[in-house]
Amino acid sequence: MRSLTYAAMLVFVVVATLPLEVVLRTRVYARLRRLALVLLCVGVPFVLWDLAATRAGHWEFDLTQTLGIVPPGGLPIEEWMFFVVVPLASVMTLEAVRAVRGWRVGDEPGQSGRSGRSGEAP
Amino acid sequence: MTHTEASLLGIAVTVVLDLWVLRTRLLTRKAFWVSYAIVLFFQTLTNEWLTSRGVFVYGEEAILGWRIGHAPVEDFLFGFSLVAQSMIWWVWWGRRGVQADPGPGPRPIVTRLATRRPR
Repeated sequence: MRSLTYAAMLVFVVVATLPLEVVLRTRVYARLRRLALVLLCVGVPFVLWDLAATRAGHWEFDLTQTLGIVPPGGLPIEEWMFFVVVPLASVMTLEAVRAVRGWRVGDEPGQSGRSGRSGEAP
Repeated sequence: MTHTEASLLGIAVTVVLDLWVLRTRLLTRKAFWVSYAIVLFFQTLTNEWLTSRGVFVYGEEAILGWRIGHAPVEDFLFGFSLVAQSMIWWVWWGRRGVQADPGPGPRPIVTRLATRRPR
């Protein structure tokens, strides 16, 4: 059980946010291409930060509380998945708030002017 | 550089990215701050789970030593940047037209059956 400590947290986050896709129609899983681009843009700098921070001794991991899979770089597999799961949960939450409150987040059509779609936005 | 300095730098980068580089200006929106507050609540729980069990072990030299529960305050700064940048890039790619409009999409089968009109 001890080896599942970190993995359990990741599963909790995914399971806790999953119903939003169905109940509030957040449509994040339905937009996988956009999600993948987010994971790339966020994952790369934060994994690099993580690699640098562990090398600098800012933090380390108790590998006995992980599954024990350590890809090259020294971060346990859970830490890699952290940078998938947390951005996913963040975006799900933003879309859920938008779905419930109807507040704009800035990507709505016509947000940057009617011509924004076809030409350059001012 | 310490974890403290790196985390503060991370926040500065996040702000610059949102307001001036990508110009998403998400940090000026109510939707962002309400979403962040919700994520922060859950982050406090999940990070407590991990830090109280010692899954993360921090270099004492690298942090101030100020903690909320077992989690160093630096973790909350790191978390803010990660969460905010995720939302910022989501909005940015949407503005660029990548799957921007959720559209009607495939409706859940339950809804489809419930609203089907007889011929």
